[in-house]
Amino acid sequence: MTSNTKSRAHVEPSARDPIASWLDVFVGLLNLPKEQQRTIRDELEDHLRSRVDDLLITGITESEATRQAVAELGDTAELAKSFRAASRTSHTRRLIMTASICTLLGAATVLGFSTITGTALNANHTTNAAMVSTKPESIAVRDRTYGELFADLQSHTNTPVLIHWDRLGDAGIEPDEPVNLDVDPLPPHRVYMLIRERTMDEWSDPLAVIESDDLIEITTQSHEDARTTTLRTHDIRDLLTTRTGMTPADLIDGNTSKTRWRAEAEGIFETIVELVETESWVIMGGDRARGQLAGASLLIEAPERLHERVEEILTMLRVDADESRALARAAQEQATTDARKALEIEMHDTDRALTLAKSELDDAKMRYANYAARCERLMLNTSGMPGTRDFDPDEWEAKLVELRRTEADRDLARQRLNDLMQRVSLLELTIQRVQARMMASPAESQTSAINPDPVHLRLETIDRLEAQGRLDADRANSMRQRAQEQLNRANAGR
Amino acid sequence: MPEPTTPKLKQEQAELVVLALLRDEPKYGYAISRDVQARSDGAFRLTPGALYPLLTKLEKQGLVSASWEEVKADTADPDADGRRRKWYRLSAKGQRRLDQRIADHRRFTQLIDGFIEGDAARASA
Repeated sequence: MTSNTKSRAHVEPSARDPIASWLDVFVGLLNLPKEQQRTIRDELEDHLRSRVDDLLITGITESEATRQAVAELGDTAELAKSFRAASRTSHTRRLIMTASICTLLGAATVLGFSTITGTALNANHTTNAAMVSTKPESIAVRDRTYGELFADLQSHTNTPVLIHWDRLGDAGIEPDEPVNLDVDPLPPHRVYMLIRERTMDEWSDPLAVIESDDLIEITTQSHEDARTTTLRTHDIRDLLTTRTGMTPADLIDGNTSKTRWRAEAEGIFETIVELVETESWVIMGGDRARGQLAGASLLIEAPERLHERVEEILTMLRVDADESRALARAAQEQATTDARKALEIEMHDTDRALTLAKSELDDAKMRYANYAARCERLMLNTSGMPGTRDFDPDEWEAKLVELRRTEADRDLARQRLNDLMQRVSLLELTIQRVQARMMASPAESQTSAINPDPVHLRLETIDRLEAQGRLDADRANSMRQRAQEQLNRANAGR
Repeated sequence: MPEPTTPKLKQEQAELVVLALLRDEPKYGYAISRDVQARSDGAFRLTPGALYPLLTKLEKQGLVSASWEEVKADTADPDADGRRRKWYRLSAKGQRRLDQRIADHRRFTQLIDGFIEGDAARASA
């Protein structure tokens, strides 16, 4: 590349302005190496500023001209996508080369180099190896033309080689054009690989070597693609069901289900386009592959090699979906086990609390009975009361004081007794609730732990309201009793 | 007679149009886009989303070569940086590709014309 400077009118240097801001956003979407981003940014900046200059001549304001110039670029994300696809061609095509390596190795075998590549060959290629001469010598590459090189390659096999020069010419490979491979000499299979790699990098239509039992063809990838293009239906119903948790029957439920199902199907198609030679798809500006969603099927018209890649991707997605499902199942089982353990712990703790509460209740009953009996005795002890002969005001006053204190103690004991009775009642209720949950199936246990049934919800509400003082004890107990009866009826019916 | 629909350039045709525009002189992206519209009386439009990826592809194939130029306004500060402009020039290989594309196009048009004229001849008979 060269660089020179010219002076031109209507051109301003870059500055921090709406165009620069838009370009910042745009290059952020490119996801390309910095140098490529800079190149694309500079070229688009020149485009935008040139366009603004032209629009200004029509008499509109600069801000309006800028807005229109940016709007003419279309959707920013889509624009970034097309730049990305064009700039990643070499990398993507290297992936294609990997996929085609068997074809190349097959050709190498036919050309008499099974000793070099033998370990990588399959049974089909072995058949070809038996048909050919075995001349493992390398061939000269440096300063050769494509015509000379292919002629040499032909001389290394007994199988006829058909070179489609008309097709290769379309892709820029002419018989008299230098190969420009600065290495010498090379075995034929390496020559094929290098030429193919070079054509991948430099041209949109790389070299393809197609091997059959009785013919080797050297042509372009587009030619081979055109010959093997077919329309196929890929059933993705299972994938959609796994990924959405929905079945086709659920689609009857309404538009939301249909939208979700469709979005998932589109997501799968986008994944395929992204991973399978992106620039070949019609929706990405290519002309070799097209796809359409039809319910739970993916209709794809594409060359055989792309169909194979689509199948690979769908298989990967299925494996991934199965693994996700297995993980979800394991997580659910773990949650069920955890919920069960939590219930057992709750049961154990409640049971201990109930035992303790009952013991305290027994003590409280005894204490209350003692105070009550003592009060009775004090009240019956009338000796020294006013009006009697042995009335002693001091003694009488002392008796009254003791009686009041004992009555106060008795009342406290009664309060404590009531509290403990209520506590025991609550704990018994809790045990019944936990038992009911434990008796339910594991799945139901888990669900009920997350979404308690209405009776449990009501009981918890009663507890909360009472604790907050918004419900008196009598009313709360009455409500608990009704809820308990309802729970008992439900358990009996289960 | 129904109104003819506005034609849309397919990828191969867009390539032919761009190579043909570069045959006369080097051009930069915006100039190519403007010339496509002007020389087709506004019938063809090459959006930046189609044009620049196509130019990238042509450059990778060696059909065009590119060079950068720094451009400035006449009134700009001579010490300030200008912006960069990318110029495209048709290569020898690009010229061969263009010749091939033109020949293909002419043959294709001739064949289609044969059908149309055949129909017209039958209709007049």
